[in-house]
Amino acid sequence: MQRVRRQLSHSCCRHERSPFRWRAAKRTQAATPWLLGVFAAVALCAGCNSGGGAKRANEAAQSTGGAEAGTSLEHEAGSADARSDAGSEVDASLSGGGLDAATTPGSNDVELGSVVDHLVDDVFVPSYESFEAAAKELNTSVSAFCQAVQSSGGSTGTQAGASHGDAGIVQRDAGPRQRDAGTMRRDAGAGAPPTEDVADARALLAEVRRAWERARSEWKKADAFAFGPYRDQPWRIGPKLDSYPVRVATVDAFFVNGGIDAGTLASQGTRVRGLPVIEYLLYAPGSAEATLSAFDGETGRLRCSYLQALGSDTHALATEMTEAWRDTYADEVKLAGSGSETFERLHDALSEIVNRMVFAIENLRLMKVGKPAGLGEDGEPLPELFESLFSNRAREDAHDALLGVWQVYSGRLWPDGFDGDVAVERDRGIRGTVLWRGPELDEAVISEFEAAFGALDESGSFVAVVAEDPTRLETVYEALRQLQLTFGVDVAAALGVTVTFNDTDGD
Amino acid sequence: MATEASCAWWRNVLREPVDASSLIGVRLALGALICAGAIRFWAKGWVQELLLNDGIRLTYYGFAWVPHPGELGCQVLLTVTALAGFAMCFGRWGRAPLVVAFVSFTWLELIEASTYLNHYYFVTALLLLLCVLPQLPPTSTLLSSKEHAPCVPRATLWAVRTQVAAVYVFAGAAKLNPDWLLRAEPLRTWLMVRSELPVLGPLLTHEMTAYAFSICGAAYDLTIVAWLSWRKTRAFAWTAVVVFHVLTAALFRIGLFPWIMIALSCVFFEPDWLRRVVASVRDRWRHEPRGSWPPTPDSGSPSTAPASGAAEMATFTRGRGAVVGLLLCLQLLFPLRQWLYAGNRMWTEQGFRFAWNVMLMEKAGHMEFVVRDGNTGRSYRTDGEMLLTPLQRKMASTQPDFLLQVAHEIGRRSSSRGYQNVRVYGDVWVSLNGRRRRRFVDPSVDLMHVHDGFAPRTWLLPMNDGER
Repeated sequence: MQRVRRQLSHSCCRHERSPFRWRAAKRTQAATPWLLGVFAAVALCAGCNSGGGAKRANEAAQSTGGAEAGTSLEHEAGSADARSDAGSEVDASLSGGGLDAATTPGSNDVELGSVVDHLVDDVFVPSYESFEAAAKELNTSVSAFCQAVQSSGGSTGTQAGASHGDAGIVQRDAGPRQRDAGTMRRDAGAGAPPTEDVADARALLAEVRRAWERARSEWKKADAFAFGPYRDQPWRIGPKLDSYPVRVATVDAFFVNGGIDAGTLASQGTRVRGLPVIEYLLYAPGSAEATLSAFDGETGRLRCSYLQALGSDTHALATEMTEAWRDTYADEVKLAGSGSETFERLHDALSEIVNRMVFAIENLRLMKVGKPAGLGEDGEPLPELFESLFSNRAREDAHDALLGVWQVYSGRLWPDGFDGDVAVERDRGIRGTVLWRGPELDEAVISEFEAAFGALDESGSFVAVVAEDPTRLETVYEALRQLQLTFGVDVAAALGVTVTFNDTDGD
Repeated sequence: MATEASCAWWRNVLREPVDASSLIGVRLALGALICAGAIRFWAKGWVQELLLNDGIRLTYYGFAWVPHPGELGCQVLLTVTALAGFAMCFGRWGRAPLVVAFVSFTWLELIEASTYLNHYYFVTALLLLLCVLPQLPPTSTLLSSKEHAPCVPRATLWAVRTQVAAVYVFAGAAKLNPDWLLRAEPLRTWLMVRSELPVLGPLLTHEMTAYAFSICGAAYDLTIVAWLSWRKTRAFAWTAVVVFHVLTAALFRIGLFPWIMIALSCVFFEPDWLRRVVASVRDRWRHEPRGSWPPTPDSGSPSTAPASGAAEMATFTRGRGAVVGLLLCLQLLFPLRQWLYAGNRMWTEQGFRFAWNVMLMEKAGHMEFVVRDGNTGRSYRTDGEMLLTPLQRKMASTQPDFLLQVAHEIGRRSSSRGYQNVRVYGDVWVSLNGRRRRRFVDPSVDLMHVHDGFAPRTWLLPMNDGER
């Protein structure tokens, strides 16, 4: 490259000294440097596209491997201190009216590569790591629960039912917004003292349900970046973990036909695997006692066996997802435009990320809210199409999915939920690039997130609302529509991102 | 008397024989690029992705009658196009390869209008022109000596130059708009997202770079033909052409357009430039004394034209002249129609296509439709996603004629689902060149009663008045 640059420079100088040199000189001799100049320019520009990404390749190579990744970026060396300052320093907040110099229109040095690197290292991989940890906990809880149920001789449900009738209430292990928003659920665990086995089983059921909800919550947050190992071969892990509605008849048939083990499960269709099927087994209609009763007897043993297979399968898939991202796909994204096989240009990776955000919002609005509430094309409410129907967690699923979008936009995880009154951080999230166009669009995005989260908080249980008055979900639907418009039109236009998965020529 | 003399002088000038090698080069380059383009289209799987859709076909106004040949037919058309392009490289078999390439390429273009690209249209226009111009000699004649070089009437060369010049000049004129010059849009947006490029990358994120690119780009388009035509500036100009187009190819995803323009810009060189290049290469190959290259000053005047080639020259008959004149007039007048309409033409896109509005805007949109049964009042909302390919969806959400076709198709399908007296209203939002979105279609207008044509699109809301 250095040689090519020298040639170009040489050629330009010749032209500057004597524009008519090649005419005056012996023509055949003059033609050679002239042609060299042209081809040097071609080579330099072509290098822009192909080999030119050595720096980013180097950066990505250095940064592979988790949390330390982002801090070893070479391009910000020479200002390593400045970088760490920038990373930790929370710049002037929007409410204060000030923006980081890096995000001020006109004087920006927003580094898209850095934005993408941060998203991978600070959002995508950590999210899947959290999900993997939750899936592991779920698997452990399932094993403990099944052991307890089976060691009690398969009579936990009937005893519990006889002694307690409708059991008490257990609060969900969810974020603060969920906890105070009417998400209580009937469960076993309160009332007159039960026998020891029954109490254990009931407590363990509550525990395994909490573990499922935590795994579900972490999984839904990852909806916002459901690309790569989620949907691409050879992994295609997403559908195996989350296909709904559950094919109930097929699942029930397993109990009649002798059950299923983890090995067999891996070869089954997506509708009989993953989190929704675990939910189906853990949340029988009615009280917790009904669920415990379902684990009685021989059918209960098969049910437990299936549940354990699902727990193990889910944990294995979560591990596969995390490893696929950490070991392979993170570099594919971070090396976009610099050797990535998936993303020819860095802009392609950015486009994919924004596209998935838009799709996540659209899917939430049309398929997870609109269609079940009868606000879609069919016009008739179809509550059976709500996600997490058995646990009545459709609204919380929607909340988590939206939080995932917010995390990608803001560029970091928000374990305590959404907070729109937050400062701008350099090169963080899609927000870092949006702010380059000025604060107006970012302010609109934040206020629409606030509206959407507010509408979700106020909506109450989706299933209950639809049973009473489906039009009450129109507020949620409309808030999501506005957010979709903002991301699909305004943000996409501001970043020059094509909202489509097609990759054709322009003009 | 003076007029007659002037006409006679022009006739003589236009009929003067000039070396055909420059135009042979045009045909050779065009054929090679058509062949490469067809293979690329096939290799990328774009037949299935772009041309086959059970839902809806988006068509150009007045060309809905063009039949869709089906998947096999598309593959055959693509193969025929590639073979015709390949045959064009040799220049044998008369006009047949040109005619076949024109028909098959144009048919493919007309199948699905969402695939419209300016350079596809440019290829079509150029192929049509080459079909009606006097027949060019075979490519092998490039090896002939200057004395035996075949000739064509000067008008042939000028016709092709006019066609190529029209692209540059209209593209330059289109850039003389406030967004381009005062806001440096859409280049500001497009350059920002290429910051990963080495050397240039850090510069691209600066606003001043976008302004510099915008102004230079407009100046380049408007004046490059003149610089290429003037012998003294030709070397610099062609270097600029190469640098400019290679840069655009590196920065933007614009397919074969840069390579087509680099190749065709050579048509402004002396008519015999390619013959001299070939002779020079041949001389080097044979270790003979080198011929003169780069091209020597040569006006292409009759005195420098080879006598034997001129004697065998194809004539430019009166009828042929009329057809070529008509085509060129159409090329020069048709793009002007966009200025006849009120409002921002990038917003309404009236007269926007087939007018060399190249890389002029970044537009993003979202469309939904509210379908209402006029008798019962029941309604539903749809985005038509099930009908559209991703590319169709993207194009239709910002281009009014496509949007209207989608609305009509949704209306038709609603009728077949039992809706009566169907009314379709658009809920469409568009962002142009980085602005916040505005409402695009008047939501009170029943689109089932709107028909496309050349009349002003009063059913669109003006950009500055649209609801936010």
